[in-house]
Amino acid sequence: MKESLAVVTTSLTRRFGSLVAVDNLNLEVPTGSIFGLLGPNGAGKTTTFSMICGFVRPTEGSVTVLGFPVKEFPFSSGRLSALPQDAKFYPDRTVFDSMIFLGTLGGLTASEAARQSEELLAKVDLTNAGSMKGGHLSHGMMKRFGIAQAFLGRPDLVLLDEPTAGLDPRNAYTIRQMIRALAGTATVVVSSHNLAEVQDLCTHAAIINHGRLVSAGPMDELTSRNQEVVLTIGNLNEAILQRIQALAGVTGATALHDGSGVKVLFETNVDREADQAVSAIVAGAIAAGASVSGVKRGKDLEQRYLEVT
Amino acid sequence: MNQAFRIAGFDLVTALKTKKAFISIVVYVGLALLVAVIWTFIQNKVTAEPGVTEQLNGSRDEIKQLLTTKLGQDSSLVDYLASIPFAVMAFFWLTQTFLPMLISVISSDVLNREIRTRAARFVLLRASRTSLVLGKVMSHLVLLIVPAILSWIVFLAYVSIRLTGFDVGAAIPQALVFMGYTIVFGFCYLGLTALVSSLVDGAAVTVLVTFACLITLSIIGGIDSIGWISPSWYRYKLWYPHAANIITGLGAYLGFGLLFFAAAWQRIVRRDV
Repeated sequence: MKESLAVVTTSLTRRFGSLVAVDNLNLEVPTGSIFGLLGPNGAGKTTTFSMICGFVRPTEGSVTVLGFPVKEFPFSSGRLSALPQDAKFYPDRTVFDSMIFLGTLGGLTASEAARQSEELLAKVDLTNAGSMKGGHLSHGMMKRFGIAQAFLGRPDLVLLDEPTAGLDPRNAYTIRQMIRALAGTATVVVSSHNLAEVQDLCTHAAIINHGRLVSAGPMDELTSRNQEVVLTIGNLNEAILQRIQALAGVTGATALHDGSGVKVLFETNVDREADQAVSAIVAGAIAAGASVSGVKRGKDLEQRYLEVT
Repeated sequence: MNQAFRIAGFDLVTALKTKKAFISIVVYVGLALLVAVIWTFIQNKVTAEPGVTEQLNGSRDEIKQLLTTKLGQDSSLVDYLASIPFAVMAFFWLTQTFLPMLISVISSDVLNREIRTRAARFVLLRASRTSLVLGKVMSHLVLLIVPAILSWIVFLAYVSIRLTGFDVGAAIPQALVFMGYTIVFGFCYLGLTALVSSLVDGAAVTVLVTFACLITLSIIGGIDSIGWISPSWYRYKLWYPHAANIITGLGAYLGFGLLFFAAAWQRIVRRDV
């Protein structure tokens, strides 16, 4: 087990009867990363989450969480927390009671659990719902309660299964801010259908389809951020295109279909970091007479997602 | 173990808030009171007839003779049973008959409630499955022990006040012994309910399956050659005064209870939640 990896799945497989929900999945989640898990409906994201959390047993393969085989993970340590999908807490207990119970179960003192609960419930806009019983919460409120409890204590690994699905934009923004705040202190794994959100939030991502891993890596690699730049050029012509193609480090340049700009592929190496390369390309294009009105690095995650799923 | 105590505490407070604990007490105590009222009414009515009390006192020897016919030549057993007040014996017999069914109704969701709603997922991120099972079992043991003790107290209090000639001082030591037996006996059937609850997800289905198990175990317990594999077979061991029988009976109920709990624990540890 590499210590720099928070989660490792090896040949992870889960079958439900004849249905193969997760198929020979090999996944590595770097410690400290915000890791996006993407895939279409039924791709196996939730089953993968459930196996990482130890809720569901693999049919084959193994899961290592924070250095422990998941079967031997010390759950009472409070190092792992999650927002499980579709889980409902005790309908007859108040939100605040439930938060304190979970906090103390995770190793906090009652007073610390109460303090953190108040703070977290305020963050997810549930301050006034603290005295409400679980059974009276709406779907959105239950989701926000689930997120609040996932941030209790000081977990080293937080797994959030579609944390912003069904939330209004303000709450979704707050949740993203909470996730960002964990960066550097914890590893966060987020599954989501919102590709723009994942691209904006995550440092790494994996795309799974039909239970299999189809693409994974740092977000920059997935979006070719350090290999590709699109320049919007108002006066693009053949001469300008040829001069861009001839720039140092450029491996290819093609005009966009609508003629509004050019997609430039470039290579980075030790001497030429990607930022410098992009600056050089933009400067070279302007020097070639191009009227550059926009620069966009890499491709959208959406584009990448559509390519592989 | 701390985790198990926390889970048990939370579950008990939930039982109090949902009035489940209150309902358990009302059911146990209500039934005990009902038995006490009916028994007192009948016995008072019978003994009120002129000469009946004298006849009953005079017929002690006849009762012993009847017990000897039924139970064999074990004079110490006959003397022991003849010394126990009828009301106490009747209540213990009824307890043995109906307690397993009461437990199966009241504790039908002992292990499957959290799994059905997936609330277990929040808990199992912070506690082991063993702690969850231990915690839930501990809270349901309290929900068994407290109402069971209260039901004996209410029964004894009522008959001591209303039953003519009932010697409460003489009855209490035997009632305390039976109360202890009731708890061990109930432990076994709580184990059975927990096992069914770990195998079946719905509370109502758990009750039905547990009832079916109770009937099956009762039938098996009545078969001479294989009866010993059923808890029902050991029921009357608890009626003997001899240490060997009592130890066998209590040991069997504790053993079966532990076996059922162990099977339930293994099922929860191995299943998806």
